[in-house]
Amino acid sequence: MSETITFTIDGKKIPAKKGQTIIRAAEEAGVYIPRLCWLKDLIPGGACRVCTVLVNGRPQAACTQPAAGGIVVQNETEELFRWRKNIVAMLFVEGNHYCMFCEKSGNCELQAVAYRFGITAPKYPHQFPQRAVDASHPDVLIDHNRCILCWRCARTARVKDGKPIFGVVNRGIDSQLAVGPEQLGETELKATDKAVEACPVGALMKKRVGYAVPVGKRLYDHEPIGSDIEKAGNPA
Amino acid sequence: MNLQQVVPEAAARCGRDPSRVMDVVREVQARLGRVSDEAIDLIARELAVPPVDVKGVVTFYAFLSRKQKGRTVIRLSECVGCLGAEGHASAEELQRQLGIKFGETTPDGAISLEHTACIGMCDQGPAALVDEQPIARLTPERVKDLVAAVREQKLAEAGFAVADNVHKKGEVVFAEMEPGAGLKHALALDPAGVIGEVKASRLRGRGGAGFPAGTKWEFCARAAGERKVVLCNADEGEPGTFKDREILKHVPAHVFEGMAIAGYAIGAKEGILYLRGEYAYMLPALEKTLDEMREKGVLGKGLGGGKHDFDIRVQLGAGAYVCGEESALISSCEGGRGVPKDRPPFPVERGYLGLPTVVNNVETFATVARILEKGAGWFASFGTRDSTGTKLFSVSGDCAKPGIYELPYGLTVRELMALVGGEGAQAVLVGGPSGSFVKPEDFDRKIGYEALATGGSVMVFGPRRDLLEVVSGFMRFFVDESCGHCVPCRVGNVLIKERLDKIRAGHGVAEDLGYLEELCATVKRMSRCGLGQTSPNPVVTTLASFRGLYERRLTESNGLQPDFDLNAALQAAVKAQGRAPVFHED
Repeated sequence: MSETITFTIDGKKIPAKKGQTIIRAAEEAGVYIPRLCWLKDLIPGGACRVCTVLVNGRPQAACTQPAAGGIVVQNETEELFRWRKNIVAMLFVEGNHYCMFCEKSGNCELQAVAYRFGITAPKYPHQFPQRAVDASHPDVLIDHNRCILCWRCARTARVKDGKPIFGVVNRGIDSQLAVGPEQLGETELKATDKAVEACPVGALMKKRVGYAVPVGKRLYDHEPIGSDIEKAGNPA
Repeated sequence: MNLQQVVPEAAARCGRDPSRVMDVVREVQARLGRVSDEAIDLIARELAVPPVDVKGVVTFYAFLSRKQKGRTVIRLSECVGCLGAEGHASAEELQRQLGIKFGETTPDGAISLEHTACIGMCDQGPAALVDEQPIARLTPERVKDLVAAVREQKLAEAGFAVADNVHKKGEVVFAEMEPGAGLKHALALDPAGVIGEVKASRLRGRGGAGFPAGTKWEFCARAAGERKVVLCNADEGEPGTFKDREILKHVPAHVFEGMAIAGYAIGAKEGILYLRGEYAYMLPALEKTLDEMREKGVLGKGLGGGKHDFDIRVQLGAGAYVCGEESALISSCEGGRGVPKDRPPFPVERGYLGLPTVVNNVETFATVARILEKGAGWFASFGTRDSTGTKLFSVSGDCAKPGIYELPYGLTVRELMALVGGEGAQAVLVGGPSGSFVKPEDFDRKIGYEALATGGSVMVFGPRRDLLEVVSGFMRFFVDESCGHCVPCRVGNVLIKERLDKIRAGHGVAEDLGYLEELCATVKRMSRCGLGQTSPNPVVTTLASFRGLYERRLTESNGLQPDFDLNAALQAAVKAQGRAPVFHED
């Protein structure tokens, strides 16, 4: 039996199991905390920082910070909204993102979070990095242009598929998703692996299935990302 | 020497331990001049580590390379502290003498020339590393001698020795101490008593963050687990910091003794000193000290004739400032990329290899040995209430006597400037680029945790320095040294530097200052570790204290997109046409 504790998010009482992270407890209570690198049932990465909340006034990533009894969490403040928006805006100029013809459009978490935040145009100067496409695998491709370095694929491949084939090379702004050995085609990755599904953007994709879902029927065509969580917790 | 021979030898030397990837890649780099993709695969196989992880390590650290390097690598510090006028001239002369540019290798494969971040020679820059050997006080003249000595392989005799520059020895760190005296007093107490003594001294960590050392030890002592670890952070990389260099040179035994005391207090048998790659030249002397201490019974089995065992190994880094962050230091000690870890759990609960770990700075351990020798009360009589004891200040920049000063906490910036001959400064940077630029009106502020906190770096900038160039240099440093794991630090610092340089070039408009402040706040508040949380400080503190420097460079907005530089955009066309554009006014 795990101990139950209670804390608040923006004044709302949230029950949590001891040791549970803030983001999980929030999700179960119908509070959406925006995130990109977090994926349910996966070790958290703490990389995108979009889920940063104020815990007793201090910024902490909700995906790594355990809930504790009595803590006061702020999720929707004017400052947090701005800072989160800034981070998402950074991602759009760090890589080369072309939503209008990307196969992931409408199903892309980066695009969906940007829409939820009201981002419509680039805020920062584009960095236009030179990035490669790895199409060496028969069924899956990596487009580094669209990678946001969330490491969801890398963590999923290791933990769920048992294949430590993705990793990180270089550092700082030159950091890049890497595969070992050199190219995706040389790895034991299968199109059915969970890692392929883990990509929130159009960086790791199955070949020959792009644009299969028509506009209007895609994941985020009608309601903002996070609506499902909010609805589940707040039935009308 | 070939790969098939070198890799298995290196792997065998560390027992084919998967957590020792760093030692293996370091050895391969040293012996073969690179860690090729073939080597990466071999190392991965020998240590049973995924190849992509070995590749991750090789590409993370500045001193490791997949491409072939020359038999000798000359690395010139491009740190703000080193790159004054002499630094630029020396850089030019190095390229001229070698006939290559930075980033290149001579055609005979003999010498590679590179830039590197601060190498801890700030009191005697411009400085360079020739392989592991530091070369100080470069001038264009000395560059000629240096290149000749490297070519003739007579560097050792060429007289490039590093100066000490310890100008003020205090009572705590640099005073004489009978070997084992601190440990003897510690062993007379029980472990809780030792922690009590350190807590009573109110010693705060000397690396910069200032966490109470005794409290940290207490947490670790209470953490569950039989096996615990004492880690000494000798990765001083904050530009302007070189105090640990002198501690490790003059009183390494105090540091090791402090680690042994910590081991006794928390119940750890293992200690690791993580030595930054830039200080690899100190390794032989440190190993010798360790051997001497083992012979005297201050380290090894049955410390001081008692039941407690404690020994220390030295782990070398390979060029990454972020490894000075304690959880990144642990990642690096484990053989991986120097990427910080999420907290909680804190290292005192789950640190090195998941074991409860105390991480303290070199100076903290040296101070602990003294506290146990002389008593907490004696120690706390120095300094102020919140900042007890003495502190080592490494002073560099535009002053008469740069070097090391051990002084009680609580002195003002003005008093320190009088001591070092830096009176005419337009600004003093206390705490390195992660700290604050202090303006002359604030020179009566006290140095200590209650006012101006510092891990020891004090950089003096005289009236003729271009402060914004200095700030830009520091931002380049943070861009280069960001580990890249989290978005705000990885991308935000690039954007900050870009906009700052736009203002420096005279293309900034009033809105750019607000843009910078907003970016800086985002990076500081949203970043994952201390690096990102402090990296915008050079900009933040100069915007606060030296705003005029920015405002004077601003231009009137012309109504066009403020961040669009029309002139730069037209450069290619101007070049092609051979004439400047004609602008038609309305």
